[in-house]
Amino acid sequence: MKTLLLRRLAVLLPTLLLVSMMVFGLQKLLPGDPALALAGEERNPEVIEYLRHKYRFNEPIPVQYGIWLKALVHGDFGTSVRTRLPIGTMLAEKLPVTIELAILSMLVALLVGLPIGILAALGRGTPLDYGASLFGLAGLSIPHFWLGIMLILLFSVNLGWLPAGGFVPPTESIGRNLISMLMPALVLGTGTAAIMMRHVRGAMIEAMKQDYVRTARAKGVRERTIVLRHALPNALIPVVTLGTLQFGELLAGAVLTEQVFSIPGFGKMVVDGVFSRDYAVVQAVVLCTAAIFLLMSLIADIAYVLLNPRLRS
Amino acid sequence: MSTIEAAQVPAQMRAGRRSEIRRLFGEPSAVIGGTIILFFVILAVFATWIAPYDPNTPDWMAIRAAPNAAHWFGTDDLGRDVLSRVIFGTQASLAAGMVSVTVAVLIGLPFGLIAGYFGGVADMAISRVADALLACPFLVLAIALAAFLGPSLQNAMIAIGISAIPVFVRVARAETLVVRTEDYIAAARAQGLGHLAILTGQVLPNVLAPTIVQATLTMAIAVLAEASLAFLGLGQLPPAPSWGAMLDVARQFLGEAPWMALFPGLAIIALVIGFNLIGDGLNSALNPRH
Repeated sequence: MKTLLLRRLAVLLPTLLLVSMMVFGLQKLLPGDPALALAGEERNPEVIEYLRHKYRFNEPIPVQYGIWLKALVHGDFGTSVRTRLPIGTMLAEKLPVTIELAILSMLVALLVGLPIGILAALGRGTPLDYGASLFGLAGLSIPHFWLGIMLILLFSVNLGWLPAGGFVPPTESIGRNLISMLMPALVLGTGTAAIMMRHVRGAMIEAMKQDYVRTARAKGVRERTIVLRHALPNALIPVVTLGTLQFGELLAGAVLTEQVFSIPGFGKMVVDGVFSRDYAVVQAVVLCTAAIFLLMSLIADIAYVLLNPRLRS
Repeated sequence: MSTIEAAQVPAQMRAGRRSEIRRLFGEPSAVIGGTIILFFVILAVFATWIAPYDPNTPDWMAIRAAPNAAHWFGTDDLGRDVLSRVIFGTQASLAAGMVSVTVAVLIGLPFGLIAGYFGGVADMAISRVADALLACPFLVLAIALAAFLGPSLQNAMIAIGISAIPVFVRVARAETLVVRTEDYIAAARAQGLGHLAILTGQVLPNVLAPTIVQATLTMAIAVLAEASLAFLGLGQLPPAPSWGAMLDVARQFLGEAPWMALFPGLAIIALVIGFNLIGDGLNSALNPRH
């Protein structure tokens, strides 16, 4: 296990370094004076001069990257030109909101994707299976933001059951927090539920073909026990890995969902950053999302080995 | 491989392709998906003749008119015909899907071939860069690139194309790793063929099938990404019609004019389903391991 961890870290760290190079390189796509571009709407010469000095735009690019990276390693993501707040502080404030949305969405995905996937596998070729395939196709094809708009239209505008947007922190009221997150989590979780359903269905079909299932049937074990005790635990091993990786995807998918439901999370932060030309914020969000994604893939690898006895030995 | 056997290869390949095409037409998902895509291509190409109105001409007497005999999909906040804007919006979505994926294939495929064929340092360097690109979730990277490049359909296509490159590097590399161990590659080397000739003549034809499948499935993602970027204001600039941008405007009038949101959304879903179905069908027909 230790060897695996070290081997994966040896790949992860250079990848993260390359990501940081790419994110730094984004600055170079900006036309004209980078200090002027980084200042966004700000036209104060002092601010522009401060940025030029801070990022040493007169120095060669590798030196500029070194300075930028050194600041990052010390937790300095720069300052937002829009809010004037340190970006690190903004990230610490927004990330928990997006993580809550991602966790709730994953819950939706598991509650919907797992049972449908299992039932579709057990009733292969039946109308239920075709219905599940249709759900899978729809889940992958419906844009999050459109589904969000339609749910707002139905549950907020027409029925008036749920708030159309906004966020209530859990510290204020857990009940109202969950109500405010219900539609966003449904919207974001649907796509993941579809992916989960497809994988669970495939894994269950494979598991039900295995020798141990045939042996259990020959011994007269009840079908329900075979499914729940023997096939499902084995089928779930790749699903755990998938779920971990999908968690990283959910953080990215939150960008549009947060925009539709006006949730002040990571995604809204990047969109606001784009429109106020707050490029340092955009860079910080991309870098953090990539770091979380890499961390989740590391956890997925470890989970796969831990759950699979053959690999563990 | 003898000379006679070598001469038989093109004939076998032609026969193989014919059977693949037959299999493709026998796949219901490919046929349905292909029909949907063909429908949208016709809409995009003949939009000027098919659309009942000019998509950008406002009608101040018919602002937010509900669907009726004159305007089947209703009108928007400026009185523009939603049906005509949906029809013209097909051009941006199809262009984004096809151009961005072509960019991604043209860059990703050669790098994947090189990484898989030569291995060693080339493979390590290319794979690490692809891993780094893959670590940035597709949409986040596309948004960041579009933000830094500036909002326009062209930049959105570049951003989506760059974000999709690593997928094709991975696919081409994985297939090349399998193909390079085959006997006919050893035979080609023994005949004195150079690396370029082997890569283009022997490896590439075998890598094309999975690449085409991946390209079709990625087009679905690219259409969604273009709509997302346009929804955020980073795609097609107004007043040119784009499904994502239409949805962004529609959000403000949900109570008064829900049709403004309904029809562009259904168009996105239909096109994405079309690409997903044809991708699944191609996968079944072209992938021998399926």
